[in-house]
Amino acid sequence: MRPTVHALEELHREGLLSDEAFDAARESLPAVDQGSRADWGRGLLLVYGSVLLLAGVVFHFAFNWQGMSKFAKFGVVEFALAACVACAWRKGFETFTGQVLMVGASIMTGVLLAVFGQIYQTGADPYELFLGWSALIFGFVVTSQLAGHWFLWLVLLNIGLFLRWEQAGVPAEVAYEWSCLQLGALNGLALAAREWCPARGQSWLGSAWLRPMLVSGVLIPMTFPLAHCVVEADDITLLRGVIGMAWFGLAGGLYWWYRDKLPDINVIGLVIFNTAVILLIFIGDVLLEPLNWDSGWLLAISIASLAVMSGSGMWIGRVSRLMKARDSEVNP
Amino acid sequence: MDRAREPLDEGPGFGGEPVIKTLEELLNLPDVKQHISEENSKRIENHLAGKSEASSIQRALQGIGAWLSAIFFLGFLGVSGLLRSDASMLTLGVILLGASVGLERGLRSTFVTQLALALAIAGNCLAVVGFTELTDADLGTGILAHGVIGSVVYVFHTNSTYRFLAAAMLSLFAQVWILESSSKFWMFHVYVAVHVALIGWLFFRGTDRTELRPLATAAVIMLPYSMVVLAWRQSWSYRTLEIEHLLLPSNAIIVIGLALLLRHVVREQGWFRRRSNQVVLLGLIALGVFTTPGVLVAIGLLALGRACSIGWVTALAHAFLVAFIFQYYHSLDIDLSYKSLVLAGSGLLLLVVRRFLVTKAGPHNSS
Repeated sequence: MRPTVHALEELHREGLLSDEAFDAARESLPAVDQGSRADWGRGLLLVYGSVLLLAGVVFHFAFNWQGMSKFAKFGVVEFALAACVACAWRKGFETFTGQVLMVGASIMTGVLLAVFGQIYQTGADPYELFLGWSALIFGFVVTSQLAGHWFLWLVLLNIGLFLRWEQAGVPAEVAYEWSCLQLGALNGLALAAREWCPARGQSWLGSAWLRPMLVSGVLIPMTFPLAHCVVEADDITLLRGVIGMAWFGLAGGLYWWYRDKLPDINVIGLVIFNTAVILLIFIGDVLLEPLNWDSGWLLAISIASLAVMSGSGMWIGRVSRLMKARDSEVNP
Repeated sequence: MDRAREPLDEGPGFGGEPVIKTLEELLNLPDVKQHISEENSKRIENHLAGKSEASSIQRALQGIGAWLSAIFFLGFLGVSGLLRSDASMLTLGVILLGASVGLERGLRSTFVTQLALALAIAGNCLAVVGFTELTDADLGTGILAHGVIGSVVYVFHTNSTYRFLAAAMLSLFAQVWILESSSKFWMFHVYVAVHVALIGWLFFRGTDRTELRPLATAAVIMLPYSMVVLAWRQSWSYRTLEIEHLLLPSNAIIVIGLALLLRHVVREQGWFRRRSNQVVLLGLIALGVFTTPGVLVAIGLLALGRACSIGWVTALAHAFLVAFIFQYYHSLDIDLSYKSLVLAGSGLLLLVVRRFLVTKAGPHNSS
């Protein structure tokens, strides 16, 4: 919890801080709070200022598109890209300004690819744009060492893989389960990198918010085939069945790892919620629907929702208490 | 080659001092810790642990489960033929609400709490719809009915999720009713004033009234949401000078609220007499006049989230700020070329201000 006047007042009001303790903490606060407040304000100005400037450049380019020669189009974009990289180098790649500029360079790379595709009418599919974009900016991502930049790169990869199935896979009658498997594997690798790299000097990958996002990126695509198996149990393909079964191993593995090895209640919550959703689909479709209860089905699923979600809540509470007990044993 | 380094980008801290990032670290400072007894130290630890992520996840699951259950239960009631008339809807709604309050105050278990919440949601819907249909009332009377029912149940029902939902739905319905026609538009300023006052009072004065916290949460979410709805309705139906002129009272209310908020956050005597703060205030007024009031609301929420260390409020503020900025530039009645110049110019202005602040701060001075 951040140290703020508001937090101290709450503790004082609850009788947890004496008047002397409150005054002493309050006096220590300005040196802490004011500096961090100034940092935060300047960081906001940098991010929003950069985004607005970049958006202005992109829209100006879009407006004048028809009237510009192809060399002018390339020139503007390449100049912007080079300027971002040069300014980032000048400022220092490890500074926040430098990192924001490298993100700008990544955005301009995407614009350059779009311009290239438009001018030369390459006939490339959009998924090729996204995958090419991801490949080209990988160097920028590694140089900037910014978790948000890396996440953006992952998002581009995910979009590229999904579009690849949609634009190339569907016409060739490739099963959607392959796309699910690829997305799950990609995000799984990213999750492994997030856990492995910080211990090896890449602390920039250790941002707390990355973990639940990546776990969601692994669980969600792997859930669809299993849910499909449950809903259409009489039409299960081999691939769908295998991925469906793999979900159990995946969920169990994540649960074990983030309960015992790297305790994280947010990930446990995600796994439990994912399990609850699958369970509800199973109860509704496999257990209750064959009974042909009409309106009774609605009442039964209503009660089942309560039971499953409250059970999930109790489960999370139990795991949380276990983690705290273990933590207090290790750090008395 | 020497690379320019800004004070912001230096390693941890300013002037070599260690940065204190958490409340726990602050309380462990020697000057502070000597005044905290062993027993209070444990109590503080338990208090902070009570605001744990696990309890937030549990509340979220509770809310989802109750919502799902209520929807299916209402579907069951509708399909089964149990709701034979409007009177039966109203009667059943009241019974469910009573049962919900009884369960909530009686047995204590996760399942019962969730059941009580689901019954409260279903009962509230049935009671309000039943009353409205029975009396053949218009939307305004229906909203009033929800207000009365929700207020009564709010007092007796201790579940914070129900309290939040009741308050949020009242705000949503009121907004829908007000924006129904331009003749009622003047009420929007009352709506804004009530929300701004609630947020200010509940977050900074009434923080010991934990039973009112769901009300504050609903106000924080519904105020910017109503601005988004208003802004988008403006862009395709109300886009006239007349309506823009009518928005000025809301702008003024929000500017005053924001100024008071900033003054409270900065906590200095004679805040309004300092030249730099007068500039900030004038800038805010200009921003409110020349853009949408939503931008000011989002900035206010950013400051609120930061001051009170509430992460979700800050995240919500960022999301709404992006939405309002997008909507503002989208609705400008100029071609894309000028828009791009305005956008780039705004971005440059923010970067120049930032540069000025960094220069003023000096290499190792955070003030």
